[in-house]
Amino acid sequence: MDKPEVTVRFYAALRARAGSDEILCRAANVKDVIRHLKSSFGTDFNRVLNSCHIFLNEENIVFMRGVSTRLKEGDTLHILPPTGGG
Amino acid sequence: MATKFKGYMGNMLKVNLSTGEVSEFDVTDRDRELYIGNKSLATKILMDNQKAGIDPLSPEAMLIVNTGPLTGSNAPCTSRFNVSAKSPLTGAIGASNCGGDFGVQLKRCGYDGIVITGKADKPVYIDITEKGAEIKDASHLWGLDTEKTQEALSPKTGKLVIGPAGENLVKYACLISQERAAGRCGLGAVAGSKNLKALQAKGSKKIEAADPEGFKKAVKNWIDMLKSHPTTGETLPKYGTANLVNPINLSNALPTANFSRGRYEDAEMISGETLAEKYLVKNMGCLSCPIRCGRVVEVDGKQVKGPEFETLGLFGSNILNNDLTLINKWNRQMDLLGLDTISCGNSIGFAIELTQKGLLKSDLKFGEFGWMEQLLEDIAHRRGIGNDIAEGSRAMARKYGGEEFAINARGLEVACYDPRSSVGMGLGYAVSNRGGCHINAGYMIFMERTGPITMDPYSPASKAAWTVFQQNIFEAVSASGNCIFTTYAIMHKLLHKINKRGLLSKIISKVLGVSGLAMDHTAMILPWGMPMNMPVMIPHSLVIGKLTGMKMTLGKFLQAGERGYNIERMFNVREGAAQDTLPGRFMDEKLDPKRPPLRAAMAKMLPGYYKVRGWDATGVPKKKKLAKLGIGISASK
Repeated sequence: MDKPEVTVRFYAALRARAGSDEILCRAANVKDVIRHLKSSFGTDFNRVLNSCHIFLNEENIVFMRGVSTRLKEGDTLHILPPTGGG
Repeated sequence: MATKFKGYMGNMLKVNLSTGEVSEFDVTDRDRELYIGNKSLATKILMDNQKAGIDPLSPEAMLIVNTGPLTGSNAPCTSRFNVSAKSPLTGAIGASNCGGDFGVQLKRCGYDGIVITGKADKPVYIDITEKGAEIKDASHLWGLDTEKTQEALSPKTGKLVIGPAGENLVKYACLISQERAAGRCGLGAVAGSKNLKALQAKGSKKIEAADPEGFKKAVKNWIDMLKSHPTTGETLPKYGTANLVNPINLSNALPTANFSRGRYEDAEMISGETLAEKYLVKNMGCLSCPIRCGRVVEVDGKQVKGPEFETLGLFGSNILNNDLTLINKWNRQMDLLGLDTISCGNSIGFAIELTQKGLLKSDLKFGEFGWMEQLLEDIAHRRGIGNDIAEGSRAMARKYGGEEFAINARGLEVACYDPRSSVGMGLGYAVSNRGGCHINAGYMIFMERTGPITMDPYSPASKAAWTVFQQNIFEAVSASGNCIFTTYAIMHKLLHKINKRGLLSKIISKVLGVSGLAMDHTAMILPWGMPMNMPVMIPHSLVIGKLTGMKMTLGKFLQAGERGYNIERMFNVREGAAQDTLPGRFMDEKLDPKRPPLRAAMAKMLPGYYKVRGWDATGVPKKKKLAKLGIGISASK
C-alpha cells in the first residue's frame, strides 16, 4: 500500500532555498519527509532545515511524537526556520 | 556640566515652555554609570524631579527626550533615542524608543537629552543647535500631518514631530522621526498638551571614544556577527518583522477577531513572505543599522514605510482582514496622523467586539472595512465614536463594559502575541512596567516558540527567572542607545546549526526548563559574578566600555538593566500603577480546547517572579533590593 501523500510547506529562508512554497510528498512519518527533503534539495537547504521548527497541521511535532509522528493522507507539514522580530 | 566619560556629550537641556526659559539640566557621572542613559536614566530624572500623582497632560508634567552613550556612535543599530513621560494612557511609566535621526543630531549639537516642562501659550517647536535651544512659533505647522510637518521644518535637521493625533491628545498618539515612531504609551499627547508640535536639531560635534582603536575593532566584529547571523543577517533583512506572521499563527498565538482565536486561516495573505513577494520595493534601515528590517512599499504611487508585524496582526487577523494593500494604506495613514498602530488596532478590535455584543452602537464589523479610513481620521480628530476609541480600550471598557475582552495590561493595549500559547509572555505582559508591551515584557515567545532552542511554551517552570533575565538585558540594551534586535544574536549562530530534532537540542531544551534555580542565583551574584565581557554573544558591554571608558562588564551591564527595571517599578508604585494583571479573556477563556487558560500558570509564575526580582508579594521592590542597586541615592540635581 502506498504511503500517504502529504503537503510540505516552506517558510522564509527555507522557501527561498526550496524555490517554491510547497511540495507534495509520500511519507509514512515526519522522518520520511526529512529524508526526502534532504535528498531533493542542496546542502544550503539542509543546513537551514536542521534547525527548523516543524508543525503537523496545527501542532508542533515536539508536542506529538517528534520525527516518529505518523502522517495520514492530506496532512500538511509546515517547516519554519527559527526567527525573531517583534 | 561636563562628564569624564566619552560617548556622552555631557550636557542636557531644560526647556520650560510656560516661561520660555532655556537652561542646562545636570546629570551626574554616578547616574550615568548606574543608569547608562535613555529610558532608565529618564525614569531616574522623572523620579527625582517630577511630583507624584500629577496629571500627565498638565503643564507640570515632564517630557524627556534623551539618548544613550551608543546613540550616534557608529556602533551597529545605534540611532536609538528615547522619549519618556508619565503615560496619559496608563498612568504608569511611559517610555518609547525610536530609530529616527533626531537623537543622533541632538548629540551632534552637544546634548545627551532635553527635559521639557510647562505649556506654551501657542503652538511652538524647539530648534536645537550647538548654541542651545530656541522656542519658535509653530502656528503654521499646527494641523499638519507628520510628513508635512517634517517637510516644513529646516532641511537636513533631525526631527521629532507629532501629528493631528498628538495635537488632539489621543491617548496613544505617537511621535515620528523620519518614518520611525516613538510609538507606545501616548507620549505624542504629552507633547500636544504642551502645544509642542516638533523638535529639530542639527549639529556637527563629534562623539569621541575612550579607546578609539578598541572601539573600532569591537564594532567591526559586532557588525560581522550581525551580518552572519541567520536572524539578523537574513530573516529580518529579507522579511522584516513581518516574518513572524506565519510562525506566530502556527503557534496558535496570532490575535484573531479581538484575541478570541490564535489562528487565522488567511495568515499567509498578510505574511512577511507575501509582503516580500508582492509589495516590497526594498528594505531599509535606521542610521548605522546593518540589519535593515524596515520595509518600503508603495502606497498611492509613493514609496513609504511598510507595516511591522504588530500592524499586520492587529489590522489583519485581529479584525479579520486579509487584504495587505489595505494594511499598507492604513499603516501610512496612521503614521501621518501620529497614531500608535498597536494601541489603535487593538482598541478598534475591542470596539468591533463591543458592537457585535450589542454594548456599543456603531457600524464597525469584523471583515468589512469601508469605514476604516474615516474612523482613523475620526480617532485622530476625536470625532464621534473615534473620540471614545481615542481613549484606549481600558477607558472604553469603563464606559461600555466588556472589561474581560478589553485586551490591555496596565492600560496599554497588548501587542500581537496571544500569551495563552506562550505562558512566559503572559507573565511578562502582566508585570511589564509600561503595560502590555512585548519588549518590556521580556519577549519570552522567542524562548518559547520562535527561537532556535525553545522551552515548553505551556509550562510555567523556569519562566520567572528567564523573564527577569530577558527584561534586564532589553532594559540595558535600550539604555545604551542600541536596538534590541541585536539581542537575537545572543542565541549564537552555532545554535542555529544544531539539529533541532537531535539529542543535543533536546538536552538544551530540558536544561532551560529546569534552569530557573540557577538563573535566580545569577541575579543574586550580579555584578561581581560576571566580571568579564562575552563579545561573541553579548558585545554590548565590551563596546560600551571601549566607547565610554567605564569599567563595564557583563555583570555591571545586566545589573544596570535590573536597576532600570526596578526604578521603573518604583515609579509605578509611586503613581499607584503597579497592579500586575491580565484581561479575563487570557486568564479564564481557553484558546486551545486541550490547554488551560492562563490563571493556573500565572498563579505559579507571579510569586516566583517577585521572588527572583527581590520584590514583596504585592510586587513592590524590597528595601534590600533597592539598596543593593543603589536606587534611592539621589544624585540628579
